[in-house]
Amino acid sequence: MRKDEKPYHILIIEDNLGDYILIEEYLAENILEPDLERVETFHSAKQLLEDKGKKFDLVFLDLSLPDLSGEQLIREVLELTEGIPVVALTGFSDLDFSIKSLSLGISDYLLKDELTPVILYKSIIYAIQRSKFIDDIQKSEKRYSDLFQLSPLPMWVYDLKSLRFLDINQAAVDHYGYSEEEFLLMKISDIRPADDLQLMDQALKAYQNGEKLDPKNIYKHKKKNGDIIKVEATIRNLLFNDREAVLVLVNDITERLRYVETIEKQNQTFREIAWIQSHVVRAPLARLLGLVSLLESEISDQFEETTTLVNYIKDSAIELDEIVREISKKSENIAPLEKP
Amino acid sequence: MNSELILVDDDDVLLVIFEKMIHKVDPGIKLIPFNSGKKALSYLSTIPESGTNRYLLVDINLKDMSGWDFLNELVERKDKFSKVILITSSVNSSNPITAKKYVPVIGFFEKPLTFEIIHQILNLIGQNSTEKKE
Repeated sequence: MRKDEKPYHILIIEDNLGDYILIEEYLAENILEPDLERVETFHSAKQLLEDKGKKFDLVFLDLSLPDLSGEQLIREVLELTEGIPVVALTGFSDLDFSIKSLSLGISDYLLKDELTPVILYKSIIYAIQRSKFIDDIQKSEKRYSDLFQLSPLPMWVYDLKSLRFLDINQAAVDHYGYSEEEFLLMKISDIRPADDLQLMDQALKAYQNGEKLDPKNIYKHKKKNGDIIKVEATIRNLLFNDREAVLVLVNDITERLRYVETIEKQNQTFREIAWIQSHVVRAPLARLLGLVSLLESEISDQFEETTTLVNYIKDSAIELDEIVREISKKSENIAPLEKP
Repeated sequence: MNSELILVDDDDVLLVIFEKMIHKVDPGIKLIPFNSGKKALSYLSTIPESGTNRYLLVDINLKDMSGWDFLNELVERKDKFSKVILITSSVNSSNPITAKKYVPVIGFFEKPLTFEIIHQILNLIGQNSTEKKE
């Protein structure tokens, strides 16, 4: 049989030299050049793992060492190995304990009495592969969890039946003022103002009758301190731990709306000023210009000086009229804003 | 030209100016000034319909009613003989467009009224009048 050429780095924590030699021999049957290190006590294993724990592909652990044994040994070793697969070696066939050791986090257990080269090799390959898969899954889970947790926008998941919050991110905690524990005891109706509850019921009933949830809408929400905010919520259905749930992402647009409102008010004032310009200021101006026209026609040409003065008044009044028209024309461009 | 022109403007000074300017151009025309729309409307209802047109120079922005209200009232009365020339001191560009929607309106001018505009107004009256110029 062809030997595995991968350079496995294996730590064997085993106080019994005979057992160690046996393992060494068995390993050599299937692995070309196993890189083995052996320690006899938990104490020296601890030192070694603290120094260069990461370099091992696998750890064999004898469950009865001179300085530590059993469950406590497993716990302490697993803490040191951090993700490196640990395979337990037991000299006694205590099935119950072996199964328990699996639940503590070890990858596999082997009975020394039943050890063969094939079993040993298989156990190594399985343990390493499984550990890689678990690592990948954990990374992937973490990635999704990070997307949720680290989102700068408040997000939560609620149960469609009970309306209770099932999960909530930090941004929601920061924004709404409730702690995560408080949120998980609340229903989504607790963050809606009282006058909106009917709307919420209608929307939920519509959904239960087969209509789709509005994927994007503006809602009013209530913070813990009582502040009412306007939010744009993006909604998705999902299965959360086998429950029909809804994922909500909210964007607080209170400030944006307030800003638009301010601009709208200012524009209103502008239009009022424009109207005053266009009409109120022009009324006495029209009177003045009429008087000047009349005056012009009354003065005979022989009063040259007076005619000049009347012309000056006329020119000034016309100039003022042009200015008013200019302002009025500009203000006509201020159109009402479209509401977002 | 022996015709009549009813002046409607809430600015008393402007009424005097209009009268003087119009009389300078046509001393024969009879001018009947009103400083409120309501007064002008009640005057119109007191004179019997003669079958000939009568002319009104109406400011759009009256204090008691707008020129549009004034026109609406004329339309409601089914007054076929009142012909209206609108004047305004405002430079709102939508006004001439609105004015075109009213049948009684035969002219639209922006204040200040110059002698040139007064000539135009009197011409409009002449053109729409059944009487011939003397």
